[in-house]
Amino acid sequence: MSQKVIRKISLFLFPLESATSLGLFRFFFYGIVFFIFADQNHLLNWQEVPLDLWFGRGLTEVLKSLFWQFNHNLVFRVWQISLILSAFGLFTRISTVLAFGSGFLLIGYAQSFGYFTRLFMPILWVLFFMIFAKSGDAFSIDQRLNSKKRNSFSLSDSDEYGWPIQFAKIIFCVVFFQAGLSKLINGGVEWLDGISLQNRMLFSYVWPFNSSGRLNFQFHHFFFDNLWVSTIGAFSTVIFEFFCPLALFSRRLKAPIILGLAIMQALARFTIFVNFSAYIALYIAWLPWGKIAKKMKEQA
Amino acid sequence: MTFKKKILLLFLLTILLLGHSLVRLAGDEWWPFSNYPMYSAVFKSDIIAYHEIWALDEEGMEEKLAVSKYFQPYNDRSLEEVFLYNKNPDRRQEIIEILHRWYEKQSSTKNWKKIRSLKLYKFEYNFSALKENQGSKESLLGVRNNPVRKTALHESKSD
Repeated sequence: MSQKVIRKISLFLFPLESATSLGLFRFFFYGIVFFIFADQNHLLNWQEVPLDLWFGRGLTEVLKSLFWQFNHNLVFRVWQISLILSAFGLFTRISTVLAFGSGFLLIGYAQSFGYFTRLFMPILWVLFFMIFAKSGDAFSIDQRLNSKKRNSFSLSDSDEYGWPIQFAKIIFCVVFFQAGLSKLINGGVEWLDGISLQNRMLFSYVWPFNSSGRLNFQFHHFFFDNLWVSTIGAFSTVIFEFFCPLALFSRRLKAPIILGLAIMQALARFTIFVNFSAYIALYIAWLPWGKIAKKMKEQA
Repeated sequence: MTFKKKILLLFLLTILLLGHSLVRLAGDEWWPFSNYPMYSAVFKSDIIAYHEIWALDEEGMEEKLAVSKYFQPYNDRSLEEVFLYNKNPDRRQEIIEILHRWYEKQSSTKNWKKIRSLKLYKFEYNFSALKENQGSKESLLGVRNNPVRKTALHESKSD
């Protein structure tokens, strides 16, 4: 491989970014994860479930003895505190490790009883990679306490600060690409014709476990009555998901793809009643952190 | 960034990508790798079904159990998934027994009413009937509330 290609790949995976950009991303990412998860006793309550119902898969089954032994209450407190510390950038290197470790245990445990939501997995992956990032070098309490790094804007752009945001984008694309590919493999052309999606909307509306019966019927009736809406919905869902990785390479396609996916997930909330709010923590990776940091620098 | 760190990150990224490719090839999931198959199946069946847990009390009356109350943190949806993932009838029977024992264990401290057994019911209704009644909310929910079939799949044994 020529030097030029290696350099291009290296720049793609490890782009130059300022410490402030990464600091801002860190603050919002951990902050959002905290607001979404940390007050959820839902994660804590899984310790009440009899172990006879254990249904570990993959790493949770391999590490069964570890998952069966940890103290839930303690780990849950660690999870809450470490997310706040990570967001504000205090003891960042340690707190990000603790945030991942405790999240891994709590989420892994919660997903080992037959109920398998995939919403949390990409967030865990980002938490994992963030433990290797120097995310506390700017926009953090650590930086305030460290006299050498007190002026965050004096830290020049470096590949050390670009890769965590880029890796979060790659994780985002892996998830959506896999989802799009699953629809093509499992459903194929039949999934794209819109009938399947329309049926699912109707079923979701009447499913006794949903509270949809209390919602505005006219809104839903519009989807039940107009097949073309479902056809466009099904088609664009697969297109946006399958071609999501293009957003990593094309500046022109980035905005429509990411916006399209966001609209699709927002609509899913009200039509098939799936709450994708956890993904907000991933969407923020696509914000122009470099420009935001620059503006902050100008104002400072 | 040091060369060593770049190599380590590349290695970890390769694990992420390779793991997701392997679960794709295997057609199965291996936590925390997934092929994200949610809602990918074609939904055109004529009969649709859902499952519910019912309790048979001491007087012989049957009543649907509010899963989110008695089997927290499960809810109706997630507990149904437990049965859907476990297709083996023996394991399903085992699960209903475990749920019964769990109920009994909690009822002693929470003062719940005594039950004789738990039942897993499968409810089915015609999708075409739903389609025909999609014009109004009342008629739609009417179809939902009157399933064409109600089958008891499993029942826990009384002590």
